[in-house]
Amino acid sequence: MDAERRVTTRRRLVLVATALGLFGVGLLAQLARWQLVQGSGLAAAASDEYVRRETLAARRGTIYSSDGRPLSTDVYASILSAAPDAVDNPRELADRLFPLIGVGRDELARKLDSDALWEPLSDEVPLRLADEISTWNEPGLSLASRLSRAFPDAGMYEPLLGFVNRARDGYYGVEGYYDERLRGQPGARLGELDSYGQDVPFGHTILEPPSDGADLVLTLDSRVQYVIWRELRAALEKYQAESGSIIVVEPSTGAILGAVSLPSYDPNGYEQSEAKLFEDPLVSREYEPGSVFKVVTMAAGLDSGAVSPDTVYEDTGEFEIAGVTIHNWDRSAHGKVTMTDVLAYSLNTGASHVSTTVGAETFYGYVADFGFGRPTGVDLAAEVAGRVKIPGDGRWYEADLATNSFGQGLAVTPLQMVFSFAAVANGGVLMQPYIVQSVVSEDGAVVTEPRPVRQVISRRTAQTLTQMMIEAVERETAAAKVPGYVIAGKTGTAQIPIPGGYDPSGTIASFIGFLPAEAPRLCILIKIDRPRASPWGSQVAAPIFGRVASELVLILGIEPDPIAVAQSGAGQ
Amino acid sequence: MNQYASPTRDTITLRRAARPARVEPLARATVGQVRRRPGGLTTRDFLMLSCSIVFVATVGMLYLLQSAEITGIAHRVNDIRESLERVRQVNSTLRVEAAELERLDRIEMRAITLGMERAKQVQFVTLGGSTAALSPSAEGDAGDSPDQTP
Repeated sequence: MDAERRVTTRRRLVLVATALGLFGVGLLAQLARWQLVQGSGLAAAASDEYVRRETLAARRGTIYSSDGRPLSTDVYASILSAAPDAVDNPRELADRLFPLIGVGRDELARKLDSDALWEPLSDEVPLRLADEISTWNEPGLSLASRLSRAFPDAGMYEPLLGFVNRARDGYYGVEGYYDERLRGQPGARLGELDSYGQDVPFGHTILEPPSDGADLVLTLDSRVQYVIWRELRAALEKYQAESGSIIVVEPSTGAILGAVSLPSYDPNGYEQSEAKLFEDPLVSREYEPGSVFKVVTMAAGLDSGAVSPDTVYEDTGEFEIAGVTIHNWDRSAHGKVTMTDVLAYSLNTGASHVSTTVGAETFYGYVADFGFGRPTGVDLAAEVAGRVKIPGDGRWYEADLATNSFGQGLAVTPLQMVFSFAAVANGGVLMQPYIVQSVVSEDGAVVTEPRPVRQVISRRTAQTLTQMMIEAVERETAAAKVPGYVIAGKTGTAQIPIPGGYDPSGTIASFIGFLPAEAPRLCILIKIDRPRASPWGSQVAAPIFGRVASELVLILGIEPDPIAVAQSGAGQ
Repeated sequence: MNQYASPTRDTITLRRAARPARVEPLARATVGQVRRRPGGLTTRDFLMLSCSIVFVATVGMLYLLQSAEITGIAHRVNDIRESLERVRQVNSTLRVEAAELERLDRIEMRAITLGMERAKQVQFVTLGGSTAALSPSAEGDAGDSPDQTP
């Protein structure tokens, strides 16, 4: 009996021991799994309970004009949210809030009275108003700060500057082109934080400070920019034009001193603007330049030796090429004319004569050397190349050689066009256009050095052509003249291509000129799209040039030409 | 015979031998040391314990004071850091506001409101023959000098 009981007891002990053993093995296995297999994940999950990673936003670099005016910079705004459950009187709170944050009273009341746990009310509350709201000590409201982009001169520098979206990405213009340099690197604070997000005393904290973005100093002068913006705005109204552009460049360096296109948009509220306004017409839209292109044609003719200023050409009012008849703008014949007359009277037949005399290969060689048909490489986003058909590309016809000579059948950007004139002004040297003067970061400043692209025409040709352009202004474009200064320039009245031909209802009126002609400091392009008051460049664009130039010489302290001063005095 | 009735020499010897063993510790103790407190601690033990407690309490107190002070400083540093950040934020906002107030179109509008107007005529004064100096001024400022041209 005792023996049987002992056996039973032993069996039970073995069972218990086995069960305990298995339990122990299971426990060990689970521990091993937690430690070895899931160790890193569980450790991370555990640290998440008491360690918080806070991303520290990097400040986006500020964009300054060359005279130190902030054009685009970061500011702080507040995000206002509500916990509707904690709001005692939604209607009363909505009444107090709605005048401050620009949200409708009824919408606010609805949000404050909703069943949601959390309701965002506004993410653009100015700091001053946020301070006022925080003094209410309203338990249902919560404020947090965020960075946003501010453009103090909204409308004046767009679309040149571009904009920055909610995700802090720069688009178009300077903001788009220099986005990587401007945005910086966000930092982080990793450590034991209390429930208010503050460091726990003696807690272990790792701080990775953000690296702010680089600041940009542009070549734009805020005074120049203001003058051309004001004049263009007035011109669009006066001439009832659809749109327009003005560019001011320094021929000797390639620096863009001012550039404006209207209509523009408000980058502080870009969401409300039409997307087509975001593109900068100066670099992103092509147009047929019209007669201003005759300067390029004449440069090719003079530099290749095909013509000289005194070369005489018999203008019959028509020019036949490959079955196409070219007419002058006034459909009249001028008889025997010199090449200077061709420029002064803007004769299409004369320009066709020059291009055909030069020959297609040479002519298009000069066109390419002046920078047409390829992007200029300016530091602005979304630049296009323009369109130039050349022999052998399958799209070119012989008649194009004639039509291209007076700016038809090819497409250029305003920037390409003004820089071709700037090359003439700069002794035949085409300069690399640029808009950022220096990039200033923690590592120091990187200054853009003026860079010549190529010698397009000889200095002698450039001087000869300049004299012809001076003559053209003196004889036919008095509205562009500035007392005390010698102006070299050319008008353009371009037709606007539409499918199947040209739009009979509108033109692009333009004028490009530089001054002082002997030692040019400024090269200015005026382009007015579809003016209704007058279609002609000489009547629309040239007077704007005169007004802009006469003000800019004062602002920039450009000394008058003594000869021109004397002539003006004698004229009196 | 009862062996305990009269001690034998052996038993006397045993007693004598045992006595020094029991008396020896007492022979080395001082009179003061042998006093015992009711809890059974000697005065020395009591003093040592008291000193230890006071020491630990003092160290603890100092630790707590220092800890509290550091916590306070940490919070003050946090507050100052937040204030600094806030000042930076306000500063950036003010800079933008200043730039908005300095907009040239606004200034020009203000100038017109104040009765100013743009110069209608610019005159150049030639100095020393070949050098031309620029002098923009309002109409009539420079009189009728033959060196002036409109």
